[in-house]
Amino acid sequence: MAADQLYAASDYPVRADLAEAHDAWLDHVAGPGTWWTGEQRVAFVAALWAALDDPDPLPPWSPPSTEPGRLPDGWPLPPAAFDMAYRLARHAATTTESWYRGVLDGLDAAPEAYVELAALAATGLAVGTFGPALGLARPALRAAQPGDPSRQSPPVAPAELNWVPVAGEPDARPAVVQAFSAVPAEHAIQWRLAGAQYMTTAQMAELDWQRPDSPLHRRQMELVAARLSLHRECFY
Amino acid sequence: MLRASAKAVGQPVDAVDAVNGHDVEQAVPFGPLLVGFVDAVVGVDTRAAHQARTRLAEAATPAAVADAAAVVANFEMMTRVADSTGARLAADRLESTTSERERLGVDAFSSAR
Repeated sequence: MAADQLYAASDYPVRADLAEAHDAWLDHVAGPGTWWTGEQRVAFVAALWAALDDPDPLPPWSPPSTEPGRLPDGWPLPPAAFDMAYRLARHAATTTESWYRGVLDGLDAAPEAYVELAALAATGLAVGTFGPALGLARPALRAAQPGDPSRQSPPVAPAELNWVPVAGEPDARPAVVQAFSAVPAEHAIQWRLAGAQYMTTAQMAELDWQRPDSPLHRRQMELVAARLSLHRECFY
Repeated sequence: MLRASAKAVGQPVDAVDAVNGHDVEQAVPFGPLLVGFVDAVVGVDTRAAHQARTRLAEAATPAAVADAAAVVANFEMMTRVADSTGARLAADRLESTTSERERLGVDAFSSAR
C-alpha cells in the first residue's frame, strides 16, 4: 500500500509527511531488527495492539502469558515479551526498575534487546492509536521479512536518567532523547515519527512555531500533549 | 512548554488551568475543544469520540482534528518511551516544575521516580 492510501479513508486530511512516516514504520517493523527477527517484531506489535483492544483488561500485576488462552499459539518470543507488550500498552505508568530487571531475566537477552522491544512498543502505540483517534481502523501490519538480526550495536554505558544503557555520553541529553540510543535504528524511526506527529528537535527551539500546513499552533499542540500525558499518569 | 509557548505569543496562560480545561479559550484557541477531544479519544465511547471530532472540525478545521490526533499519538509514544526506560527528569527540570507538579498531583503518580 502506498503511503498516500494509508489514511485515504479519513474524513480529516492527514499530512503527507505524517502518512509517509507511518508507512515507513510499518516497513521498518516487518524487517529484521538489530536483536529480533521480522517475525518476532511483527508478533510483538500484534500483541501490543491486541492488548489495546482487550475488552476484559487484566490488572498490572497479572502477567497475561500465565492466563489460559492468552498467549498465541506459536508465539515466537519468550513469554516475558508478551507480558511486556501488555504492560506497556495497558499499564505503562506502573512500571518499576524491578519490573524492568524481571523482564530482562525473562527475555534472557542483552539490555539492548529489551530496548528494541521497548521502542517497538512506544512507536507501535503511536501508529496504533492514530487511526482509531480519527475513527479509522489501524493499518494492517505487514508480512515479516526474512533475515537475521544484525546484532550491530554501538558501545553503551549505564545512565543515571534511565534504567536502560545508552549510547554516547550518558545523561548529556534528556532521558527521553537518549532512551533508545542503544539501538540506533529504533532511535531513528522514533524521532522520525516524533518529527511528523509533533515537531522536530530544531522546531522545539521556536516557542512561537506553527507548521506551515497545519492549523494548530504550538501552544495548542502542547495543550493536547499535556492532557494526554495526564491521562497516562506519566510523571516525566 | 505550554506556559513558555503561550507567553511567547503574548498570551500568558496558567498551564495547570489549561491542562484541566479551565479558562483557556483566549490563550489557547479551541482549548476546551482540544481537551475534550483528548478525553474522548482515550476512552472507549466511540460515539463520544465521534462527537468530539465533529465539534473540533466544525469549530476549527478538519485538518485540526488530524493534527490533534497526531499529537495524541505522539504522546502515547513519548509516555511509553519514558515509562519503558525509567526516564527521570534532570535536577534542574525537577526544580523548575515543582509548582505545576504539586498542583496537578503528578508527584503522586506511580511513575514518579
